[in-house]
Amino acid sequence: MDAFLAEVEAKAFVIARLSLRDDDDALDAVQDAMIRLVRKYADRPRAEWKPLFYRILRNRIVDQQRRRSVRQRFRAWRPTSEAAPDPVEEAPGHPAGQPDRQVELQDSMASLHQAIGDLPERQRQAFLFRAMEGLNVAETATAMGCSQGSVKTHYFRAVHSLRVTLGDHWDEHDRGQSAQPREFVGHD
Amino acid sequence: MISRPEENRRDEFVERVSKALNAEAAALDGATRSRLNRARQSALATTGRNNLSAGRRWNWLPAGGLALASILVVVVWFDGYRPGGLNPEVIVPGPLVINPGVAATPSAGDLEVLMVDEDFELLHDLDFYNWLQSVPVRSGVGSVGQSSRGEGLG
Repeated sequence: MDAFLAEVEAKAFVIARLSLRDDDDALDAVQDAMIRLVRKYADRPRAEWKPLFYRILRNRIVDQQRRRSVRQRFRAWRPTSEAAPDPVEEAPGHPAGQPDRQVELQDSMASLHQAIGDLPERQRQAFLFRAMEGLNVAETATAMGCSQGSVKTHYFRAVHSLRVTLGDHWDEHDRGQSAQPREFVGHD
Repeated sequence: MISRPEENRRDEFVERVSKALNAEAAALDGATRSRLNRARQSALATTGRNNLSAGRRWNWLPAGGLALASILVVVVWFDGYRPGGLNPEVIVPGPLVINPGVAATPSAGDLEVLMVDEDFELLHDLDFYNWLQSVPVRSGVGSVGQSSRGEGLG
């Protein structure tokens, strides 16, 4: 189990960060997924661990997004003074409102992050599980809790959207310039 | 329908994206790696605790099962055989025969009888031996018979 978690933790973290756009939230989600996998599914065959782990991670990500959405709605509803700074805007890793964000968006990786982050949740999951983690259609369906047909549809649409969004800005030449993977935008 | 060149083009695109994301994962900074490592160790530590607690949860099973089985044997035994005297048909010389029409309810005394290896003929002649014990003992061979005979005649 140790070797398995060590193998998937970095990719899981990147996947969670692309969805949550926050390092701390991503780490929390990954840790929760690890704990739950260990507690509930350690006795299952190793071949089942990966789809199970990503299913748990996906649920944690969705939970965090819901909580964040509720918090934002609550903040919007709560009367606040105009001078008070918005903690969401000031939080590290928030994609909007930071000058360096505009600079980094010109970088190919930042563009990729942005494009993936802008995908609908299901398309993003299908794409990341398939393209990044290398899960097959059946494993991705298990991880996403949907049919294999839905996986194929979400994945196809995700690839199409990314191609449209990134277009020629994201090619081998750009990758050559930004060969060194970088921190997520706003990560301190 | 997607033509073959477009399919290949898409695959190359996905491949590039995949490589970039995997490279990003492989090059996470030390602080993040350290936090992930701590998270993993923390998760695995819960396994140890779970295994320990699971072991604690089930390690009483053999001893508990044995104790429960013993209790059940005793309860069934005493419940099925309530006091009230041993049905004479329950214990007979030879094979054990239980009269289905009569509840077999031996007492603890009956259990004692069952436990000892006695001559069953003694049990059949128990009335005789009781009578024998009640009559006064006189010296001399045949005194019992004479006495009873004499007392009866007198």
